[in-house]
Amino acid sequence: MSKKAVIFGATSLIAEHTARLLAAEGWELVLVGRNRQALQAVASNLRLMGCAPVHELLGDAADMSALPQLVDSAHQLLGRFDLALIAWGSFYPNPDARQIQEMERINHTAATALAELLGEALAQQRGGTLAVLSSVAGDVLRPANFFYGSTKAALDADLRKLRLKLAPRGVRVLTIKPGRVETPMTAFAPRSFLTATPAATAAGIRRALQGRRDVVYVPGWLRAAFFVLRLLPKWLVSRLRF
Amino acid sequence: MPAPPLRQTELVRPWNGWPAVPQKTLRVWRSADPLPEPLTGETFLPFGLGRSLSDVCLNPDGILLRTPAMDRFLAFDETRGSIRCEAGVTLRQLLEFLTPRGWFLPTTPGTSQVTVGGAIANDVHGKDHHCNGSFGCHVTRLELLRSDGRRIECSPDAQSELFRATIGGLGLTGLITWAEFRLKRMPSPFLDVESVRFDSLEDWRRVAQEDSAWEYTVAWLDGTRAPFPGIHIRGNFAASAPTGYRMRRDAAVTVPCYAPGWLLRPSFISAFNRLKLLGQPAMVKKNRQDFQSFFYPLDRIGNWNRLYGRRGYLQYQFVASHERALGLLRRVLETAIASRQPAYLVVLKTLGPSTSAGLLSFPMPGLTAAIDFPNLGKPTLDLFSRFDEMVRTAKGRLYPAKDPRMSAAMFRDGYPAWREFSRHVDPAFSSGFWRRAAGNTP
Repeated sequence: MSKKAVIFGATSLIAEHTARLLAAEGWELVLVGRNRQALQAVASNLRLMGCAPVHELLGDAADMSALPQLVDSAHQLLGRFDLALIAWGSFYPNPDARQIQEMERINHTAATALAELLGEALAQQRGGTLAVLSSVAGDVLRPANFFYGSTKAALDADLRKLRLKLAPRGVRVLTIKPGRVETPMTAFAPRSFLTATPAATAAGIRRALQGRRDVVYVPGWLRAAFFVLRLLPKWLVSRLRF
Repeated sequence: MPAPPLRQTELVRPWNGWPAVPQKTLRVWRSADPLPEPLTGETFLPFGLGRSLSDVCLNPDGILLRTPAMDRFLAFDETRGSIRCEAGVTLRQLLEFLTPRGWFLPTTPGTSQVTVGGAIANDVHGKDHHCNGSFGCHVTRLELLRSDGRRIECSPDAQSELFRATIGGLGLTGLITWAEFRLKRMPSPFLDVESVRFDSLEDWRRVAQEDSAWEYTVAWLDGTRAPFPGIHIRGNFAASAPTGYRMRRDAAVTVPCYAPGWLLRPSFISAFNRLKLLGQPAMVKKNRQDFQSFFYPLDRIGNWNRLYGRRGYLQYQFVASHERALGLLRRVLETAIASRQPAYLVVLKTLGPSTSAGLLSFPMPGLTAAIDFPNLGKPTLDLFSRFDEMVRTAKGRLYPAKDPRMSAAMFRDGYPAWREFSRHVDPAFSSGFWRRAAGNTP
């Protein structure tokens, strides 16, 4: 029987490339996104490439009251989840108050609320993996992305809590921490040789799903890099340019 | 409102490594997205994987449009053998999709690391040109995104003028967002290959006369010594063979850094060429190869262009009629030897009678030779200028995708349709090549 996954924020490039890897292995997928045209484009490409069914589900992360309904619909389509992936994010480099609020809502509040719902659904079927795209930005708050980093730090904390809560019920909560990836979300920011491609990041996520770690850095060397960054004194961190 | 995209400046080189240009880039993420807003006087040029060997893929002082996420398949007709995909899809991606389903590219260049958009914009050809023509011969439809915001669907029947300008149009007629093209049945992932040694260019002509039964042919020759011996390689897809072939990864080994200048010395190359010929003592060798080894041997080595060192290399590729081409090639190689800059790699290929619709398409009936030289700067450029005179006398022409220094006169002589073509160039699109070859004249 084919494995089944639901992907929230499925039109993001990292999610799309992850979906391609899963589809190539024969997974059945429900893709959730808010832009009908973009969602169709992602789904029809996956249908051409793979043989397992790919479902589209229209839904907006910003509408918190609609989340339970979305999870229900996805569950009805698939019957069970082997994997639930939350892959949405919002990033403003120098945000105003409204943009801070939007980042907080999308990166943290809505993601946590959805993670709670999905975690419960997985616990009820006694197993499965809940994977959430966070960021290394939450590890060390740096001037380049203070506000984005703090929303991701809050998300990380909520996921730690959820992990403790769900571990006894057989659910694995996986926090995925990419560095900078070449996507529309970071289009305003300079790229360097350290900028990863969505395809490479998706491959890292796919490997992480098979592994046993709770918190995975993609690429893996970021774990060591941020371990060192955390040890830096704050006068130095506050001068970091990246 | 999302933050405005950054016009980041990166140093961009074509595959041959020269010229290196600090280049502003912008991304167009989706084929449904509009083009970015140009600043006053800014021009655009689409950039795929940068595999051309010239400034046709550069736009100094302008903007490169990169489309890393325009990589989706849109439709696949398995019965008629036709596919529609976004322009950023690579030939490698297509092969991974098509070959397990028994289909193959209608024709293919010597690397799979190019995009569909790039293959169309340079109207690339391959080992089967004498049978199947160039890539542009198989394109049935495409969509152009113009700087005035229009999306124009072009085909041989609709908007045919713009279609003809876009095939081989060097990315100047607008951004190709998607394309549809015919495919070729692939009976097996393996080819039956025959390699025939030849002792001289005349001998090659004799060998090549028996090519009619072979779909894919190409000749490699030792350009470091007259009378230019070499190996003629020809293959056909095997009628049937065991299936279940899994494609190997590209770039299994990667050249980690630029090789030092002394590594590729002429004496090394000469010795290498001799060894290669000694490696095939028999006059005729037959074997069976998978399609990756046959078509894309260099894709296995990542960044192989770094072997030429930081200054890179230059390729001189011309086409001339059957009657004149061999004489021309001999003069070119002898001139190179006489000026102590022997050719490192020479590839010879027969081009067939079927020409594509493209106004600036390179292939014409005759022979084409692609000759690689390490870039020594002025001495190499001077040598190429001497070649230019020979090519003009022989009524041949040069390949824009391979030539970062072609003069305006060479270009206009070789491509008399350039004036008609220039009427279809998008006013907001330009390239380094275009400004040099045709730009500042009415």
